[in-house]
Amino acid sequence: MLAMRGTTGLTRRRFLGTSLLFVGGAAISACTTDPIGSGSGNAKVTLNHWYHEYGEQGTREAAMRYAADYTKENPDVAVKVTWVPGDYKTKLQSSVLTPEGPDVYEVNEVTPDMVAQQQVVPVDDIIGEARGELNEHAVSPLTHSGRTYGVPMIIDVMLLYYRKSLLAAAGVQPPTTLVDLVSAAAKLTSGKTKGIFVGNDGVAGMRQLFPFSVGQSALTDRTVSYATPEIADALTVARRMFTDKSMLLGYPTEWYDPGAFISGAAAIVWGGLWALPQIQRELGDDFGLIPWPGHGASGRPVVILGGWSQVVNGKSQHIDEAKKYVQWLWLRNEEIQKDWALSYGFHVPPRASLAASAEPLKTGAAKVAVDLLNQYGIRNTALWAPSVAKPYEDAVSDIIKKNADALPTLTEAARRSQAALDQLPKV
Amino acid sequence: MSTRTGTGSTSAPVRRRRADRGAWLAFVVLTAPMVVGLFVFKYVAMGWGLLLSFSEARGTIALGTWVGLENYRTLLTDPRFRDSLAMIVVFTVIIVPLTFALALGLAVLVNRLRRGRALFRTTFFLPAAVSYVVASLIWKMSLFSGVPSSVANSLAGLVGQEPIAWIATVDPPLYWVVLVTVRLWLQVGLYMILFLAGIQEIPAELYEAAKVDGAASEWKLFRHITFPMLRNTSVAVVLLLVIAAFQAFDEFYNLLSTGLAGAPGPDGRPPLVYLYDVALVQQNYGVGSAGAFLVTLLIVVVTLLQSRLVGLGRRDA
Repeated sequence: MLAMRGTTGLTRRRFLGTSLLFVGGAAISACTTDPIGSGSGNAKVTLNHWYHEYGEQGTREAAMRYAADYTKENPDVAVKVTWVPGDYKTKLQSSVLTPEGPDVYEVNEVTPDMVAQQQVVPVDDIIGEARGELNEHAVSPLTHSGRTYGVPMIIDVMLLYYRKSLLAAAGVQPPTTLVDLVSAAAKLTSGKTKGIFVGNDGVAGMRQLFPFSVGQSALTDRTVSYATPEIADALTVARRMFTDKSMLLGYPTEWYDPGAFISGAAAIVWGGLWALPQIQRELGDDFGLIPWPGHGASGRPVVILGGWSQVVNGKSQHIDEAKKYVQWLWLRNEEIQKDWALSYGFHVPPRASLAASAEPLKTGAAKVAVDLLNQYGIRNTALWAPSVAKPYEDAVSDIIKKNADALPTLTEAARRSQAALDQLPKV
Repeated sequence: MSTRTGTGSTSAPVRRRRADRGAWLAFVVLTAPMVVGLFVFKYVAMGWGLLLSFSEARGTIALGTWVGLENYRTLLTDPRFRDSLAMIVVFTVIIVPLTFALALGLAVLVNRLRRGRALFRTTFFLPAAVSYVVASLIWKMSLFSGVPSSVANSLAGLVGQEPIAWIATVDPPLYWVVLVTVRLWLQVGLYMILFLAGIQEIPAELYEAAKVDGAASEWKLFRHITFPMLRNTSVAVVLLLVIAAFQAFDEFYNLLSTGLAGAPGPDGRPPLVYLYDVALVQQNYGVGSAGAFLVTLLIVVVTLLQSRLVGLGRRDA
């Protein structure tokens, strides 16, 4: 009996101990994702600043350094940087529903819903004269009714990378039309190398560019305009890359990672300028850059612009302080803007004067990419919200992967996209 | 207690009441966190969700703009949502009998072992402890990746088959092989344990009596004793399997999404993945909530039908 009581006591105590350890462990691991302050004990205002997790090494430390520098210059304002790993957009969107959301955060585009729900405020006052030199396509997804709701931080350039040696070995010239691209992809496919990689599902990287590649666009103001015979034809031609089995599918990394290109699993890949330093390091000069080729009589080559912009939360208690901080970071402080765009990965600064004066962008492949960006860069407007884009994305998947009849599939999808577009608030 | 007399009669009820109060207090203290948590994080959220499903809530979870049944109508007239419902029904029809048969078969085999029963039981059960996300990533990146060196393609190579893009091939739907095998691997062990527990409850005399009566073959014993005696376990297992199938999300999302590039495409998109996109990507919380209640309704209806069919809760004659 005594022994039994002894063991029970021990087990209970051990159980309690283990539970405490467990809870402690959970608390500690929770702390690691906690915001990191810029550490000013006597600050009157604390701004919460959210970043998504940039893949490049050193970005997190840089973001914290900028925040600390700001507090040094402005002792009244402390900045807490939160580095959000994983699914940033979902975490952000649930957070800005509440009054406790971040004061400053980054987005790819500002949707009309975000404006209607006061998740952003106009920042034209802090942009001021810099407006003229900001890249038009970087600002358009942040603009509604002439008001700008964000400050672009970096421009990402997306285009085609090709492996010179593999093309030479197959006797293939860099393609200049979609038909060329399809036949090049087929010729380049042999053994462990596939001709082209645009995403593991066969559509993700390239689906948005077809309307531009025939000289049209998915939206014309508030009208959905992607159900045209030209776009349908481009998709039908592109489908051959899928049915010919010249696409790399199901690779362990995604198209935005240069892994498949560097390993030689694909000879032509849709990729981003951010991967350029790594590709240069691994492949030397055995690669070239081209835009996605145009298609049809009025077709034009496509380079897609992406990138991140900083917005101020309309529900913030410190809108003015947050605006000043954003202005200091992304409009006034050229050193920081250059450092952020060029020291870690490779991005283009959205301000023309800065992009022109950035040494690393003046030579070699980076210069080619910037020239292609200036010549062919384009992207969808702020009205291309997820609810509007979804029917189009599903339709493209059906056409490419299941041989669906292109024009009727696009027409049906356009009807649903239009309904979604009509529901977007007019802001 | 009431028949007691003498000195104890006055003190015992007092002590009893005190003990009761102590037990009651302990009960309240111990269960309160769970009850409060359940109430705040489940019931309040569910109630709010129900209200949201009747209001227009885009980019907000504030109530106020009532739209009646409009959100439900939107979803039911949406061909992509109907596709996702059809998809999950097909998935359920495939995965439930497969898991059931495999789990039962394994349980019978493990039970017959004279040696190493614990080893096999543990081995088969272990995958149940693996997270769906981790398993999906292993299936996606190593077992069924599209490169020639993946496990599935190496095996295919042995028989002279070209490398196959398992997950991206939707016509014919080879991605189903990946979806079905990952879930089988993850859940068969757990249900095997349930069956094993059921089998061990069956009195050994039944088998002895049957053998005396001349039922010699193992199949006959299984068919006339083991399986009928497992009726309650079977009903519970099927019920749990059906609910789990309708709630499928993790492996579909992780196998078929393209990372930062976006949510899964239209093939192999179950209702919960579709609704996740509607609510958390498109920020249409009203329609998203309506969808959650439609799926709940579907689960309730199927479960009720099923209990009607197998007579769950009816007393054994």
